[in-house]
Amino acid sequence: MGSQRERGVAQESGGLGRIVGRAFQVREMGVFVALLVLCALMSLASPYFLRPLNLFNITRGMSNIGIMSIGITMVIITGGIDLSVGSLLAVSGMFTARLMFSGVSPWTSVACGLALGLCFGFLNGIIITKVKVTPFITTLGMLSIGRGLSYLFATGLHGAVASNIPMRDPDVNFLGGGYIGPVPFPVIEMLALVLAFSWFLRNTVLGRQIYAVGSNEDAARLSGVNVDRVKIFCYATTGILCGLAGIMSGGLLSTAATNAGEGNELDVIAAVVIGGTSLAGGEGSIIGAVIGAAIMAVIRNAFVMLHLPVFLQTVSIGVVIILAVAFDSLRRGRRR
Amino acid sequence: MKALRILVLLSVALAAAGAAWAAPALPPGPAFDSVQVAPPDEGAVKPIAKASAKPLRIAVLGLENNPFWIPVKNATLKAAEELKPLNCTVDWINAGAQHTTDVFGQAVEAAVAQGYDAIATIAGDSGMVNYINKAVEAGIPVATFNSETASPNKRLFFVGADLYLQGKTAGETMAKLLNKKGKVAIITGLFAVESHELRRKGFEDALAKNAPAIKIVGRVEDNDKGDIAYGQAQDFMNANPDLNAIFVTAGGNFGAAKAVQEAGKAGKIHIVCYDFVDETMSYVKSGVIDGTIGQDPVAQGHDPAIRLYNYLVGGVAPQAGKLLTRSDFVTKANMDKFWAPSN
Repeated sequence: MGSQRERGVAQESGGLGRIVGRAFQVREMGVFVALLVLCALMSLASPYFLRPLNLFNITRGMSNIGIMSIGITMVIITGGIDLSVGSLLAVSGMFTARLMFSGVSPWTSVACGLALGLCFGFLNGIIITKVKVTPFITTLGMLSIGRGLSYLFATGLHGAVASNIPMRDPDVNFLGGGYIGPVPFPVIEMLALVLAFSWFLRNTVLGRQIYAVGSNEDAARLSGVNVDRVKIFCYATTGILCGLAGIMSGGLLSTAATNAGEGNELDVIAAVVIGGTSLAGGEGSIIGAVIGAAIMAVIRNAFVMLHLPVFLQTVSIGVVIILAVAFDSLRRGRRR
Repeated sequence: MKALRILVLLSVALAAAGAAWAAPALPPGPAFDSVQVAPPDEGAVKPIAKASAKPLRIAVLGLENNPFWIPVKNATLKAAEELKPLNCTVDWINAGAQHTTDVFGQAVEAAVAQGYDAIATIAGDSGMVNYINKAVEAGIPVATFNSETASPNKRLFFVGADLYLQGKTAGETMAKLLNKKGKVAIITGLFAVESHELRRKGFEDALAKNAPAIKIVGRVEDNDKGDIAYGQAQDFMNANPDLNAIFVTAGGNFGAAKAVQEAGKAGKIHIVCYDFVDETMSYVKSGVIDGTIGQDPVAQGHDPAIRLYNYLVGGVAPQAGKLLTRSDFVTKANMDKFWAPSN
């Protein structure tokens, strides 16, 4: 019913109506409008919300989740899942800090930290595609392995008590805590990566193959797509992005913490789902995921801004997750 | 069959004889709920000047999951050095990753199985009661340290902080720092962790009693993470340009300190928090954090093993069941007395 009326309106009012109608067919638009409405309400409720300082704080606070959600979006589009992101963040950050602390040159340490994230992601991909362990189990195992190793890197081989490891190189720390003018550098990194990977997903053969694998794996295989390689690529990319997030997280406070990123896997998956990516695979968008992360970040900010009881924050994020998916499923039902 | 029955009977008789031999040698301990705040020999209790006739082994079951435990472990190792010449070894055992019974219950059972003569353990929740009582009934005295359940059990004594009192100390200090008026934000570790909640409750009760004009503008949890606390402190400052103070109940306090420093509000926004980890202490040193409240980690690591030895060998029981450690308020001025950088 609704879709008929929409189509009717689009036909009657010609060009503009069609553009608006089409815009609502773009899956990100729904969540984007939700984000705008949320921001509009917030700006009415609190005079401080729209101040650039606050907006930059919100976007900086979500940058780690945003960057990791790029990788997870691709993984989920292929029909997989990655529960190990928070642990990969911690182990890569801790490894980088440990190397730097033992005297390895800062940027070599960063390269090794990223490489470690890449290796873990690659390993996830290999175990899932070649050994045929389900993604849920593989990455659940990796969640423990990564966290355990981050403790090990923190204690060193002497068995001292697990400690945070200081990161004292200002250039490396700029990745996580720097500002260009008033703009936090992590926000710039996040936006650059989001744009680059969005372009990649839409406009490259490999990008399209990721969607093909998720919507029908057998069909993709029969039409000559190297399904395993596509999946490994997605997990490995997630790994290196987690590595970057780990180094940024350490850089922010000049210290790599053993508990960094704990629980992030759920935030990242929530962001991706709010952004309209289906856990069944085959569809989804990175921009949607980042908008999803922004919605959660604005809600968290709102509770501090408006002096609301904090327990309701956790409840409201749960409500948003369910609402977002419910709307998406209604919209899809209508389209059929 | 008959041989087996005789064997069983024999071992029961032996165990009974053992218990009978051990039981009268050890006097009863202090009442479970009796309290002594900061005993004069806290952190420095000496072993009695009498070597054990037979070799003794004491297990100290601790954690190593964050920097708080560094001084605790080192203090246990120091107690081990002190007891070595007295024919007693002390083993520090890293029990696992969490305070909970699923970790420490098993660790106590394992220590009993390994034939330790006494055990000091963390007893984070009431599930520990059965494990502790079973060990004590098997003739092995148990002490608790750092954190213990409120449910009564047969442990000999406890060495650690009273977290509610620690919260109260923070509240009273805050009331003084703010001249009893202004706005305070609270960043707690986790609402689900009892020890964090006790500190928060103690803090809020103390403010309500001593400085009712102070307004609490919000309570959030940072999951013990510095980067989360950093963002939350920024949010609080944005939402409340006239914010006067931030109280952090648990981990991640240095994130809040960094946010305050970056906003150019060091000294204008007071920060009170807990414990002596390196990152925290560097902000105490620079004056961004007004002070951090300690719980004498050295006493927590050192005293249980020594007092257990004194009980086993000399029958000396502590004066009270709860030996509460000092809640020192450590500031820039006195920090050298309490802390040295660990790396």
